Amino acid sequence: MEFKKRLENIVLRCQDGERGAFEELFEFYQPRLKYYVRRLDCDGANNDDILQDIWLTVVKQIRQLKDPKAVAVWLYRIARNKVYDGFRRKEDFTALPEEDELPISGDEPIFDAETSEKLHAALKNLKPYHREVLTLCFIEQMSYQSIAEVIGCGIGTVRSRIFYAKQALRKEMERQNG
Amino acid sequence: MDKNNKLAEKLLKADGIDPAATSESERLSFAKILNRQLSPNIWRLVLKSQVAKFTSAAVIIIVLSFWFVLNDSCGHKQEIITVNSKKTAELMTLSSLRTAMSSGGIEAVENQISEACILLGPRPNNSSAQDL
Repeated sequence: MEFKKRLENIVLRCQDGERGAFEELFEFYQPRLKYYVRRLDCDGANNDDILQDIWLTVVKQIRQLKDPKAVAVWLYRIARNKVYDGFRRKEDFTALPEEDELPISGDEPIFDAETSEKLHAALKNLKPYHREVLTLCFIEQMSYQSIAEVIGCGIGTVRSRIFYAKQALRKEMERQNG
Repeated sequence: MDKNNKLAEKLLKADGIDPAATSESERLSFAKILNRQLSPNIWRLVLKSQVAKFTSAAVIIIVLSFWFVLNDSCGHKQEIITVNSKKTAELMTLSSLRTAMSSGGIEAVENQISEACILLGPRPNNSSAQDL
């Protein structure tokens, strides 16, 4: 709770044009955004350029953010759009395939910090749309609603996508363990 | 800033990212962005403060008023005519011609008369030389 209030305060100060607030926001979100951008665009040679572009947009447009509480969703949405803009400029771009919303059955696997190394390695071998939702889930611990707002789809799709992504991740980790 | 998120921190570390700090080059490039984008914008400052808003409005009104007064064409022309006629009259008085004669001789008198003639312009047809 305290963290959320502090973040809200940072955003309000950013909207007033306070340089120190921007630096605080950057210090906190830059590592997380870097991880997210790398998961979306694993082979991206210009991820640093994308990150710079993201921050340029953030500094320019932060006054347009009406709800400071939604800063994380807003940031990840900008990041996603920038990565996808990069994809579209490539000649061989094809849109990510959308998975059908399937009924959820069975228990959702649970992952903890102890298995982070294996989890990180297994993430690389997942489908891009599974990797994306799990990254938002693990890095920001976002709600289904927030993830839906970031990726621009329905909450039901997010729920089922996370469920199947976690199952795929568990299978991949088991496969890597042998 | 601590979010108490161990899994996130460990995932970042597994990818070679320090969750608590950014690199020097990243900070520098962000500082450049901030320098460019946060440079003082006079209009932003004006719109921010009520006092500055009223002051700038007052300054604009005063400047416009001065501009209109200075560009009042009728008054401006009248003033020039008065100055010219005064000058011509002075040039043609006996005392001024005598002063010109004593200082520069007949040449100075001729110069003064021709200057006065230029200022007076061509003689109108309906007025005699005596009238002039």
